This record gives sequence, C-alpha cells and structure tokens, in this order.
Amino acid sequence: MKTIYLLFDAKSDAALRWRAWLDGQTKRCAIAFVPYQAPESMARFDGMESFCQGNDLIAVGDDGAVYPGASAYVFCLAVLEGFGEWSQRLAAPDLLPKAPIAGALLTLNDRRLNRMLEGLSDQQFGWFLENQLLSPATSTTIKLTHERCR
Amino acid sequence: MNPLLALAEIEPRTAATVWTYVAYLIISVGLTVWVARTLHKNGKIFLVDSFHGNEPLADSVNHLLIVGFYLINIGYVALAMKYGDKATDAGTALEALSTKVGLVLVVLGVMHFFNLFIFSKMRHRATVNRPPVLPVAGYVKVTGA
Repeated sequence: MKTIYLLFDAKSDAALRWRAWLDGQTKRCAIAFVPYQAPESMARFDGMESFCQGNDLIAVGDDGAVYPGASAYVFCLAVLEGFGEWSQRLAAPDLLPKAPIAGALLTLNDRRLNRMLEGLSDQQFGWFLENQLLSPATSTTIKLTHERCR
Repeated sequence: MNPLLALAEIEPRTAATVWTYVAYLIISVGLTVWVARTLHKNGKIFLVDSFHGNEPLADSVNHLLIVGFYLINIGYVALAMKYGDKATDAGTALEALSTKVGLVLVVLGVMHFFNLFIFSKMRHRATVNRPPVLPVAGYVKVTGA
C-alpha cells in the first residue's frame, strides 16, 4: 500500500484532533487527508456519499476499500510506526466499536498508554476504554468521543 | 605408523591431555551439531510464519542463522581448548573434560535462548506489522491517484 486516504468532517472536533495527531506520527505509507467540505477533492471518490452519513471519519485504501467510523481509526493505526499492536488488538470484534475512544486517548499523547496496553488483556483493555481511567482533566475529551460511539 | 599407537607410546601425562582434548572436541562438536539441527528443524515454523508463509525466504534465513550458530560455537570450542587445568591422570582428565564440556553446554544454552529470542522477536514484529482484518463497508473508485 502506497497511500491511504482519510476523509474527515472538518466540523468534527474529534476528527480534527485525530487528523492533527496523525500528522505528527511516523507513517509506513502516505496518508492523504481529504475534508468532506472540499467538493473537488471528494469528487475523486466515486460513490462515497452513502458512506459519509453518520461518520466523521472514513479511511479509503488505495484499492478503493472503504473503512468508515471505528474501522477508519484502526486502519490508520495500522500504517503508523509503533502502533501495530494497537491496530491488531482494536481490530478484534469486541474492541472495534471502542476504537474511537482509543483514538481520542491517543491524541492526548500520554506516554503511559503504551505501557498500560502491554499489561492488559483484551478484556481489560476494553474495560479500560469504557471507563476512561485517565485523569479528570482529560476525561471530558474522551467522554465526548464516547458519547458519539454509543 | 598408526597414530593411536604413537599416542600410546608418549608419556602418560601428555597422553591424558591429548585424550581429553580429543574427547572434548568430539563431545563439543557433536553437541553443537545436535543443537543446531534442533534449532534448524523447529525454528523453521516460526520463520515461515514471520515471513507470511514465504518458505524460500524462511529457509534462507534459517540456514544463515544456523551458519552463524556453528561459527560462534565451534569458534568458542576451538578457542576454549587451551584454557583450564591440564590433565595429569585419569581423574584430572575427567575433571578437565567435564569443566570444558560444561562451559560449552552453557554457551550453547545461551546461544540457543538467543536464537529463540530472535525467532520470537521476528515473529512478534511480523504479527504486529500484519494488516489488521477489518470489515470492508464497500468499495469506491478513486480517480486521479
């Protein structure tokens, strides 16, 4: 894979934070960012309209495969250096719906997260994502994302 | 002249030392070959998985690892030969032999675990970098890529 496309709603805070965070990461392939609000860029993706509704993020592979919502977070993580384990774990059916919460946590750039992930089973990791064990100051951000996932 | 007969004629102290060296070499090289074969046979499955089923590549890497293993171990066996107490009789010969073979076993053990560590690292890396299996919602045509 040479390029993946991340289509995002530029009016969504979570999507903007995710986009900004991705920008600062080391990638194993290029990520092209395309806001929904850029009609000329969106026109390159024939048949995309039906996927945009209800999703503030959509990842598209260079083969045209569409990964909306939670899958988009996991798909993006898979092309980042050092986040392979995150993508593998979050791709599990039980954890996939919680990927946006994991994404919101990652955007906080908290170094404790990787250490925490290593020590947790998938079940514990899911519980951790559900219950946001980080400090109260950060929980508002996550709560907002969490609400969107429900 | 038969070399074994020649050995029998030299003084007992020297003969004990020579026999110790001969036994040391046979046992050490034998053990090295046995461990290398075990690694070669059982490590292949890890490597095939690490290289996403690319068997020729896995075989090649496996072979290269084993070559390295032989070089390090036989090199150590050769270098370690002159160190340690010299045998003067049967008792000291056995002591010297067990010390030398014991050291070789420890080195082989360390190398064995080092190889296992490399295999598991490679496998972990391959697993982590494998694309996740995600549900595809559909396909779109991307133009102007």
